[in-house]
Amino acid sequence: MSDAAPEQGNPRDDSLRELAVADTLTRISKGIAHEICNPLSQITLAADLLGGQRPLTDERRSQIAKVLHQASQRIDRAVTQLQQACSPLQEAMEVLDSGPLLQGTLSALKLPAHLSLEAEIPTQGLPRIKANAKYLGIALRHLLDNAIEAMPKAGRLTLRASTRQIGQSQRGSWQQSTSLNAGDLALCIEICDSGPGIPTQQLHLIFEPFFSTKPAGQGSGLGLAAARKIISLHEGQLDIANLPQGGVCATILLKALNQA
Amino acid sequence: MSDTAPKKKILLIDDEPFITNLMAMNLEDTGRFEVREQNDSLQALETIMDFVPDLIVLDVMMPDLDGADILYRIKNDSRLKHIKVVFHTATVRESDLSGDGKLINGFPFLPKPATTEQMVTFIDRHLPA
Ligand SMILES: Nc1ncnc2c1ncn2[C@@H]1O[C@H](COP(=O)(O)OP(=O)(O)OP(=O)(O)O)[C@@H](O)[C@H]1O
Ligand SMILES: [Mg+2]
Repeated sequence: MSDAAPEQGNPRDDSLRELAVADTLTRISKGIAHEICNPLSQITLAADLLGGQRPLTDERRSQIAKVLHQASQRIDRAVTQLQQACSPLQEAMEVLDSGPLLQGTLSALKLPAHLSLEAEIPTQGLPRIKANAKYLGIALRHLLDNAIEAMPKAGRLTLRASTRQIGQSQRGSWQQSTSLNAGDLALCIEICDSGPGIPTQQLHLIFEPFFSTKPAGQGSGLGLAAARKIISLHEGQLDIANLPQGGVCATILLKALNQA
Repeated sequence: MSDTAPKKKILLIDDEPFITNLMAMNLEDTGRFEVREQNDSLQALETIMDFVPDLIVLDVMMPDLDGADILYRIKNDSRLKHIKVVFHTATVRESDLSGDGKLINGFPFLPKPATTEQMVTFIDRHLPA
């Protein structure tokens, strides 16, 4: 315990933390059960139809095929996301120019026709960062997906990048291992939407693996767990907050490298 | 005998349409059940009133109202509380139920995945005579 941060010295905080971890494990095991046993149930019942007495009509046959495909995609997706959320980031970090990186993200973005886009990514002056382009891309993807999914009918997606100086109170919680200190310069990436926002009583749950409010089969609840994992392996910080004017803003802070 | 016996009415409440669909087809193929599906937990109560099933197969983890909420409402409604309720869920394991007053304690449940044969045996065991 000698290397514990000072704010963790309080034994009450430790037991709270233990409770939180136990709760997280329960949620993870329930989540795995849910995302795997439901498609397994589909597979089992589809097999019963195939082996049953009733002759297979073409309609039934194609329905069964669809169900089996959906089941296997769902398990595949849960496993992939679980790996992203839990496995250590092995790929190497490199020094990257954040401007071109984010311009790339922007041009790869497939914005649904019912949404408008506000992008503020300066072509010059954004810092260099130490990052893994592929994983950082995955994290951005999860955040963009959430923003887009929050606005099924209409809305505005904002993608903004800037250089920011870290303030005193901006250091993350114990959940995030960050190398950011007050006074440091950081690349700040913001992804905001004009959707309904996140109910206050759910804000503490959104990073939990398998926490999802999306309909069955549409969200496995691993996007934010994976994104936060990736950002903390970059020793950066990811925060999600409701905006006063409505909607949600996800903020990523990554340490800016000293300009050469 | 089974050909002439009136079909028992089974209501499946689960937010996964693929699952209720497959269950309904399998159960109906036995020729012994009349099955209705409801995938929207908010409409569950209405469907129960309307269909008046002999037995309800209820999922636990659903958006909006979960299985425990729905069970609570059924058991607190004098018109509905006689209806037999069983759970069919991916998230509750046998081991969860051994302890004290868990959510679905006292109510029979069948873990997912289950074969049609297991489902039919389970339903038969819990159907009111
Ligand atoms: N921009 C947002 N607006 C509103 N709610 C959000 C937003 N981002 C996240 N959430 C809430 O947080 C939950 C968890 O998000 P997360 O990305 O981890 O999982 P998911 O989107 O449900 O599923 P997945 O990302 O695995 O497909 C969402 O289900 C939703 O309730
Ligand atoms: Mg998501």
